Amino acid sequence: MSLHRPSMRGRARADRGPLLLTALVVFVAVLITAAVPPLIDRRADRAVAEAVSAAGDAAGMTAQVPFDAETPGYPRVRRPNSATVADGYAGSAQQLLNPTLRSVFGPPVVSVSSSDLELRTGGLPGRTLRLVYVGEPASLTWTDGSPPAQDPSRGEERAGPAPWPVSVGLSEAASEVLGLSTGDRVRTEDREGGRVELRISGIYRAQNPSDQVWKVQPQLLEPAVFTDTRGITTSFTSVLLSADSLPDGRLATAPTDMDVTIEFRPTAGSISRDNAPVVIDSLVELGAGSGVAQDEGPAIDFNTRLSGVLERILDQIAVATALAIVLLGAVLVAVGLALALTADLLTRRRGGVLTGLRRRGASLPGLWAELAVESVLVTLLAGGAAALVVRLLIDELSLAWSLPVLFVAVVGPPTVAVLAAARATNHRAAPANRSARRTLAVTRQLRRITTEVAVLLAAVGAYTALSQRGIATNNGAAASLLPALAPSLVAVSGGILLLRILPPALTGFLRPAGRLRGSLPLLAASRAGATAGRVLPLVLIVTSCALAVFALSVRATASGSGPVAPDARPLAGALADGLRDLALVAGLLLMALAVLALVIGALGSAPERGETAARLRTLGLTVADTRWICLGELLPVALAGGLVGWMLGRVLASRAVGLLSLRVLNDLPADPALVVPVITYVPVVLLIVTVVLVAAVESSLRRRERLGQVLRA
Amino acid sequence: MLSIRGVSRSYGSSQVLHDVSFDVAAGTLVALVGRSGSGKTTLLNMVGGLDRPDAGTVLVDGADVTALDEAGRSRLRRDKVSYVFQTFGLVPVLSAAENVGIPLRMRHTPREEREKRVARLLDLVGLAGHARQRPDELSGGQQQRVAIARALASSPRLLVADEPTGQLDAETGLSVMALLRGVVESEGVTALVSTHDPVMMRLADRIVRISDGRVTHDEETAG
Repeated sequence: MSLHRPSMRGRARADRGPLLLTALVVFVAVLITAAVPPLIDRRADRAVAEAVSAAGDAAGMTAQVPFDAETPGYPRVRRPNSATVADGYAGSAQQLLNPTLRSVFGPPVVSVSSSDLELRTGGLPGRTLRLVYVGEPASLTWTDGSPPAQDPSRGEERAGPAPWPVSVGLSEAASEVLGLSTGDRVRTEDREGGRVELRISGIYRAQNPSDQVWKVQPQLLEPAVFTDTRGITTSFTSVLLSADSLPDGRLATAPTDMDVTIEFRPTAGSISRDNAPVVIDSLVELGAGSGVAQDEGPAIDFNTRLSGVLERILDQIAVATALAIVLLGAVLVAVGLALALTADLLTRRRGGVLTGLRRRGASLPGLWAELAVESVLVTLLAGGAAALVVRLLIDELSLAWSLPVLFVAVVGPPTVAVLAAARATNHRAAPANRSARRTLAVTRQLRRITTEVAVLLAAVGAYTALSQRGIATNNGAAASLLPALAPSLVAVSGGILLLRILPPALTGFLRPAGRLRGSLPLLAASRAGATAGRVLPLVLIVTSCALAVFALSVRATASGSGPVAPDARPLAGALADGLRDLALVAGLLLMALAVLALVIGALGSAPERGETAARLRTLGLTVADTRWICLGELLPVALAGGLVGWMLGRVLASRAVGLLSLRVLNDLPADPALVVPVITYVPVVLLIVTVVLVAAVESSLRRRERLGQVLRA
Repeated sequence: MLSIRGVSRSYGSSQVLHDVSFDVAAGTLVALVGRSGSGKTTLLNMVGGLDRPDAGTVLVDGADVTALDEAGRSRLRRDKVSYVFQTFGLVPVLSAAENVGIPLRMRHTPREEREKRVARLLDLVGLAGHARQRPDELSGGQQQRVAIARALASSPRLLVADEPTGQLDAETGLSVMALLRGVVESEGVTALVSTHDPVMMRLADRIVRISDGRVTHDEETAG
């Protein structure tokens, strides 16, 4: 089998338009399908980090321990090592974390705090204080006085009569709010009326207010002050204990009035989409053992909302990924149909040449090989260029979703062309015997019905799978393919059904058109009936329009408003942006494919239309009349395809709101109402405008041609 | 009825017609004969304004076709000159009756009148029982008969037929020829028919032979 290179070059030169169109479709399809999966993966990881960061305190974990429990009945003593004891609790709590949690959380921050004390000095009510020890905070500047200290003579001694004086430090803000300064002695009372005397050792300022310590105990820096509607002010202030004054604070307050809080914060970037499920499991496991006394130490009670934060963002990522897969599936199906259509266009242009070659003895495998070389070159150039662009732009590439596009682009054109050539040269394809012709027609009908039924069954199966199982985003693309293709297959099925309805409906219009006096309605209806029967353009118009409306409506619904609970955490950041961008790009591409389908369909039917126009012009029809016939021929297909596609897309989008759980994206309690944006009408308008332009261009070309030469051709 | 004066036409460097002149009287059937590529089709196209000569004039019923604009030429074909082609030129998705009715629709003939005329013409060409059939349900000869009926629908002054039997077998071709001869007499039209068929030549009132774009022979037949 030898390839005839001059023929190959000649064909490529003659059909460079359709070949460029094929290359463009491949380029755009590979660009999207190769870039989106890695982008979604990358942004999903970033979304986890963003969600943890945005959750703030909710992403942290606290461990509560009663401070240095005393044995009832024994006299209370001052323990100078109280700070060491508190730090020891932190070590114990950290020991309870498994390696995953230890890798996730940074070093714990230990704080010891008393219960609330009411400030009695000054006579003003509503001033609540709390004694707080947070170790030795770094970057603390004492603007007045000195850190709290102990009386070195006390050592470890039994508690004497109250009040037991406690040395504390005050922040500058607290000093101002409470009107206290260094050296002041103030009297406070606990809930039981026990007196605690405080001595202000100094005033401090934090050099780095964003330090983790101050996040754990923010009132050490800034008192919380509230004024109610009656003008009564209430303040809550924490005063600072040092390691030296902590033993005094412990002794000054009631035995159960001080707690140790150990605060864990996740370190930045330590939780990704991959390890988040393990973190959730670890937290659940930790929570199960929480509050149970350990062999050597107190019971530690862990509290965290991090697992809830992670579960929510993982759910949102799953929905976002599922939606991305559905959109990629939509692009794949529409691009596949568009490539089949360009292959059909190439075949129509080359039909005569290829049939001639076949009749002169060219073998079908030889023809296929020649055409395959061309399609491989076109696909490699376009696909390679797209892959290169993706690699340069995002430094990553995933061709798994591009493979179907590349396969169809390589195999489609030669196969369609060779099958057409084989049919044209097969004597059995047009038998002289009328009965054999009828049998052949029935066989063709059955073959077509079988294909259509197969597509419809696939659509039903995919839709059922989507309804029952959803899209498994963590089991790989293969497991998700069928449900992900559900909207696309339903859209294709809609196109097939319209294909069954529209031609007879238009042919049915012939009768009323025939009753009219003029010729144009009858001629337009007759041509429209013939054009509407062409499978690929109509199916692609319906499919593309439906999926464009679906993508744009889902985008608007997912990013739309609606009542959001105060504590709701809608998906935000790069992943949300990526999803919106993908839906928009997919919507625009699908719109373009709908227009492309109409244009290629018009190009495909142009020879027949031209021939009919030429015949009618010999009867006295004017060029202007042929423009109306062209409009009347293409407009029903464009309008019916566009409108049916729009309605189908709207139905698909409304079903997708529930099936794809779009409420999860916005953390809504119920499914949001479908938002159908104005842009969804654009495909229908574009199709109508395209028909008008096609008719105008054809009319202009027809005006320039010599009818005698057309008839001769 | 038809007057061709000094018509020349070339395509690129190829001169197809050289100073062709002849007249056709009303009510006659003229056979235009010559080998393939002799210029017959080009000349027929000039007559109905489907093509324009580089030089010379074509007068149909006194009107200079070469001076007409696009709309004028369309009116000419709608009202005065009808064509019958070798490939029939029917609209495939329309029935025989609908095909025949197209010229009448173009003239906005009232429906009742149109239907009567279509029925009469189909009867004239022997296809009264095939009115609802589409072209692909008819034989080649029947399709050509529909084409002739359609050409006669608008009561043209001149019927131009380009190889009307070219795709038909001998027997069918003969019946089509006979039909053409008959309608020329019954409808009172003038016909200019290009043909290779000797039978058609015998049925014609006059034979004009063209060779290499020139009229080489012009004689009236005995019949």
